[in-house]
Amino acid sequence: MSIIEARNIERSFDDLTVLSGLDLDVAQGEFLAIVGRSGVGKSTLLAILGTHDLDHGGTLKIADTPTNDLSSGALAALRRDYLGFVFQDFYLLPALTATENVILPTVFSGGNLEKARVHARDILDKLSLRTDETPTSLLSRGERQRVAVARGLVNRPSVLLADEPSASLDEESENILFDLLDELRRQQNFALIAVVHSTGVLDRADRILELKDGILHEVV
Amino acid sequence: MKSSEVKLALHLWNRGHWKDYIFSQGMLFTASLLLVFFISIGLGVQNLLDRFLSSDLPAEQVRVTPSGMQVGFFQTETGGMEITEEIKSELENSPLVERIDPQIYAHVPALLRGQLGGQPYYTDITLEGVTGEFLGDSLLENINWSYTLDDSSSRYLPIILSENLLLLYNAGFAESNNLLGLTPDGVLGTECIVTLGRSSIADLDNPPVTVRARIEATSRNMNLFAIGVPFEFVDEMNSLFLPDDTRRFSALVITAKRAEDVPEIVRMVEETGLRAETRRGIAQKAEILVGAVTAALSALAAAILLSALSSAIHTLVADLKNRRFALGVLMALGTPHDRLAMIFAFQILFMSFISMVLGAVLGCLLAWGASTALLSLSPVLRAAVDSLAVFPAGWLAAGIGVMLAASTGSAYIFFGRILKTPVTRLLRP
Repeated sequence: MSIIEARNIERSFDDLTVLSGLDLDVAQGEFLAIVGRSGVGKSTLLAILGTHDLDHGGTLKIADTPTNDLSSGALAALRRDYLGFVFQDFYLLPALTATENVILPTVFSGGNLEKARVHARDILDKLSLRTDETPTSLLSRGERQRVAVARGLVNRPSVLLADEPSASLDEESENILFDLLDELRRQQNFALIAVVHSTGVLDRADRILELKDGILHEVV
Repeated sequence: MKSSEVKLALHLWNRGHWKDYIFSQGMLFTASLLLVFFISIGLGVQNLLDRFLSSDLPAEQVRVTPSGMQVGFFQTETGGMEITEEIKSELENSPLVERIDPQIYAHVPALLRGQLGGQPYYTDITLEGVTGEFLGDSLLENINWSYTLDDSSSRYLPIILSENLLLLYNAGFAESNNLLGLTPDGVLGTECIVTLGRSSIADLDNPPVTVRARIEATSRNMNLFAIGVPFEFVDEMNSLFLPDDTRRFSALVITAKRAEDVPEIVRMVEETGLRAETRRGIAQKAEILVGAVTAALSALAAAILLSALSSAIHTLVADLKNRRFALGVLMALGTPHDRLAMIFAFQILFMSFISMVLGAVLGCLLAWGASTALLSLSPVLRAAVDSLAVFPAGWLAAGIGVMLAASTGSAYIFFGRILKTPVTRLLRP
């Protein structure tokens, strides 16, 4: 069963068509790597799959739920229950510490805070991140990227949407990150849809799809 | 959501924004404080002016006085018209007139003595005889207003004191001599000795008459230096000391059958050469001054309200604008709108309400403090009003309500727009 099912997805910005009739099925536990030239629409695709961008044509189902006509409350619940995000620009709250940023979704969504705290510390430890009172504004870019990854994982999502999650990391940190993602994926069976460039990461993917001319092409 | 979770959510939500948040709440606090302060003091000043300038004259009454001017303790004739029995009868015969209550001067010199604040005093006075109707029904219930010399052994002579005389005493005499200021309520029940047939500047052939007197009421409609006593007592004293003098009225209080007839009666009175005063006439004079002061205070209050309101709206909206990104992040991560609305309700509605109420309370305290300080500095003010700060709960609540509704309403509209904005746009730098 597909955890994500996208059909005939279309998205244009004024006269520029970015996605045109894109279809995608993502299976539970699958690691899907998306590649493509800069500006081709990879981030737009992730925004649509993450239900952040709703101005698209076609249909999108997440966990068998059609998203097109969902209310804002239902969409929020869908994101909270099924999706995790690692944004290209991290989108951390700079005044908060790493731990606080990671547990933020749980704090505001009313989940189990204690469990989230323990889970957050566990992930941050595994990513070799400090859990002290340092605000994330004072962390390095690489550290912030890892905090963003930890935040994406804290709610044990069914799908993790990651936009270049290792772009700011050196090779060693990238390996540590993807080792952790592989381990957690095995434990929690979440699907990972990641925009990646690194060859080392692409080797780990179950499928590689290239976004070109508005649709996805499987790379063998 | 548990209270500890709400606390943590608010703690995280405000991290790095406390200064802005406290500033925005401080603006609301200050706005509310200023609004309440100026409304309270403004209304108090208006009350004070009203007190100085108002008259007790009912709408259906006309007060007729001679055209001569009173410049001392006695009516000074300056060639003007006197109120005679003929004129009184003529007016009484008018179908528009319900009743005429005459007032007469005692042509007899008189002296008032007593104790004030433990110190003896005396002053020359003019007695003015007024009928019981002058006091009004509510006062007449408690005061026996009939009095002749025969009553002097068993009763006090009831006195009505001019409130204008009190103001003059407070402003001109008490202040310069460090004496206590007197209030209309404070002088009620004060006992004194009235001597007729003798004053500090005049002495009649007949032996003087001395009676014990007590202040039973005050009035704003008395002649400045006159002390009101029962009509028949003045008549009796005039006959006793100056039997050849003709009776002259110091004033006539005409009660019209209908309030609408008052202008016609005024015209009739003025045709005779006498002066006519009505509540409207007195009010019109007072209205010019009170109106100017009220307009100035209203303009000031409006300016304060507008600037406070725009500042409050601006700071609340600016605070939300600064949170667009944070709201976008939370929405992107799946925070339900109702949770965000809850934070908004607590941060903006509840805390703004608290800030404004605290500001209003402090505004009241400051107004009260300012009033107390001003009154302690001036016996004139102290004598005229109990307080310079007025706290009309309804108006103050309405003012605060308008400010709260306008500021939080605007913030809520802005917040609603943020919630409807696509997440991708909120996250855009």
